[in-house]
Amino acid sequence: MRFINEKTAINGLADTIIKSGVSLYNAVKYIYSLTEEDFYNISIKDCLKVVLNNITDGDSLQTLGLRINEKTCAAMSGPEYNRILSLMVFSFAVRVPMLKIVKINGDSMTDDQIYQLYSAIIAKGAANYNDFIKETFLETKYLVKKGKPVPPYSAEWYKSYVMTNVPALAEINNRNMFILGAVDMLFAMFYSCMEEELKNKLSEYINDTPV
Amino acid sequence: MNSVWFVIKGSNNFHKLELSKTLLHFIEFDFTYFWEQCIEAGKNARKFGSLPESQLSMAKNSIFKCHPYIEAKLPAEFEMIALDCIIEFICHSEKIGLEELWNRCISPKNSYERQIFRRISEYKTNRAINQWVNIVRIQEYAKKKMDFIFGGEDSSRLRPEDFRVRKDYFDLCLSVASNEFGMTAEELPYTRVCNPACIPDAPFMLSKVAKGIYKRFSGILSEAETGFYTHATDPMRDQMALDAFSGIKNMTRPAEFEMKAAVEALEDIPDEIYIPNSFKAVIDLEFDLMIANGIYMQKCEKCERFFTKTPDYNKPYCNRVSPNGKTCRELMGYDPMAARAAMSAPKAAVPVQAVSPSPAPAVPTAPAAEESFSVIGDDVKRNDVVPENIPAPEQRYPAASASKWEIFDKPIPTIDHPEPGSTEFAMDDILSQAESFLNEESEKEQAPSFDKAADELTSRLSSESKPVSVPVPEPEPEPVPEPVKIIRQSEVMGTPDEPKPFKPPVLNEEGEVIVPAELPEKKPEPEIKPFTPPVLSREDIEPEMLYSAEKPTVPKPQMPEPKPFVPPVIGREEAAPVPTTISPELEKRCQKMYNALYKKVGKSMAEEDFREWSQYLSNMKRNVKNGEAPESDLLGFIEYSEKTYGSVKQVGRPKKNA
Repeated sequence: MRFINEKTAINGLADTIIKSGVSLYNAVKYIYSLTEEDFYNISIKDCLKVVLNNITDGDSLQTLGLRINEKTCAAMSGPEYNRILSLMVFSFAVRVPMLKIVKINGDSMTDDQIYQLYSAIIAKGAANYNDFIKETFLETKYLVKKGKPVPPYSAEWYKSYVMTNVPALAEINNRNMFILGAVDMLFAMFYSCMEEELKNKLSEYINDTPV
Repeated sequence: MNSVWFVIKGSNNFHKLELSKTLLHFIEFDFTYFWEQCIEAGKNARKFGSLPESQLSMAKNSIFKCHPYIEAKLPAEFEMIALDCIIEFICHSEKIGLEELWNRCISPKNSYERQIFRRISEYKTNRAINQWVNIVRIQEYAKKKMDFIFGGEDSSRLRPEDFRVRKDYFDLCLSVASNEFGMTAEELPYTRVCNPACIPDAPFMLSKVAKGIYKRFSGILSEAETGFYTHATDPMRDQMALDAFSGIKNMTRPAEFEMKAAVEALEDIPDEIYIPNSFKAVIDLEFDLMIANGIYMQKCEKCERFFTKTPDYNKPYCNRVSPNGKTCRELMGYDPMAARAAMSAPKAAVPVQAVSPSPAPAVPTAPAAEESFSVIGDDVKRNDVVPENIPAPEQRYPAASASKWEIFDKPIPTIDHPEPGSTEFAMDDILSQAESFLNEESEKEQAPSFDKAADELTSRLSSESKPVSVPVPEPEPEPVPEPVKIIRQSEVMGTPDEPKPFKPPVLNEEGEVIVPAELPEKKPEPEIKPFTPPVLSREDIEPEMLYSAEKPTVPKPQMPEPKPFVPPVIGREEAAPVPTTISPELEKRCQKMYNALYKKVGKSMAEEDFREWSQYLSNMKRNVKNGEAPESDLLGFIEYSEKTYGSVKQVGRPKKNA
């Protein structure tokens, strides 16, 4: 794919993916804080709408009156939980080869460009702590090249990590049960919207006109 | 008690509520200016991407005086009222719901969209409501309640208990409806009342005394274990309060000087403070206290607006000044000086009236009666002169019966006594002389003294001479005179309710008496209801009606001369004017024009011009209804007005280049 400026495009795409990771990480926290006092005041549907329409805005849910603090998200404030951010971004990075499917004006990204994008994301801090993310970059690349279906993005790795490493969230209580159910829906829809955003960004970097 | 004090959550101030005045002021408050400023700000925000804060704060400043509760809550609940008005206008003009507007702004492109999105998010998450819509609804609620309790033709004859029952009935209806809607009493508005020391923020509002108390007990209070209470329920309240009391249960009365300082700080604070939890609660509170304190309202029969009843006036007319400069009471003949005098000395002699157009009592002669109906107004001059000193009735009308017996006070004329021996002749002589004397006196008294007094009085009034004490029979004690009806000559069509004045018969050229034609009945004055801005509802507002970008320039109109009123001439054979009705379409047009011009007042049209125009319109309509002018005249006037104001060039958006 021919970019106006390849380096700018690669960095821009990497920033978009990292910001999306931060946005998803915060969204889970905001939805968890909803269960503290606003369970019957704020609709989860509205929360999802706001998050999915502002993929790269990490604090979009503040407009609904939600706050992340010690009182509302005590269970998500430890160092074990903080590692989820880098895992989350890594989970996006390993699926970068799927951008090869995106064709704009009959043109798609080259393998080299895809690898540069993956490296840029890893260089900015994405990491697979204890190999919790089972997917790999090469595996995804192979599946795309062969034209085989790539498994949909899911929250299984998140739930397994939380159950293993965050005891406060592993307890059986109302709040924990709610958040574990909410992430199933959130992760899948979020990834779809992020793919759309990346397509728009690609168009931007090729034609230099905002979509 | 004419005023009470209330506090609101989050504020350390006491706010005053003047019973009945506050309510009337709020009910009649005109929000048009605020509404127009908000719409203007919204249009600018759409253009430039951000809300003009100065314009919004100007708009907010125009409404904070409409009620003390709004003034108190303006920095808190009502801070975003201007934005609420803009949101409501957008939803109405574009015919979309809040959800759709929220979806449109979900990815805000500028600060204007971000603010709208944030505000609607507050609505959705029950952190706020649209306060503009709320104020409009509360105003409607207050009007309805006022009408329910104090409206109706028979309200003047009601007892205090009847007003209370009406109010309770209204509130009970609301309770039943709320119950059916599934709302509990705790969720609905209510007002608490307590003494100043028990209000929620008492330690901060009465900080002078509270600081002294804290100093006394700081040692004990700092050592006390702080309880942790979550979701306190009613059974827990006693426990919580007594846990707090346990820290100070050994306290004694403070020293003299400290007590004195407390007295100085607290003595001016009212005994009862009200704590409403919403705007509706304040309105209900005012109604409750008004009725509890015997403050009642009545609807003025002239302008149909409510006013507070006062003990010194029992007629159904208010004291508001109408556009013609007079109050409804004055227009209906109320004389405040006479009423005050009557109130202050009800058993004294008949009060002296400086201006007395009514006829003097017990005077039947015609000329005086006619003059007595001379009207006071701009057009007519008085033709009788008020005597300088009107004596008291006893002096004015001395006992008439005394005159008959005056002859016996006069010395009996001497009679020549006859010589002794001619007694018969002497007696006849005496009798005849006495008889002739008596006859002389009786001739003088042939005209009854009553008529004599009347003639004297008439001549006194007409000749502008000094008052003369006329022997007139003493009348019965006069009742307190009725307030004089002041009628303008230009409006008089006859006074069928009052006794018709005697008019001498009119003779034609042949000397025959002409029977005067019957004057048509007086038509009730057409009442122009005061303009009330339409309540904002989506069905009423036309977007194109309001969407004017800049102020148009209006040339001062040259209004045609008003048609002079021509009274019917008695004696000629003329067809009596046939009253006609104005067609509904024309009425609608007139009202539309009136509304449009009213909006221009203060901007592109002076208030005097608008008054002149509206006065002309009302005169024209009255003439048409009375049959003195054809409907085409009114139509012509409206068309002329539309042409004049419709010719104003709307300076709007620049035209697109083809």
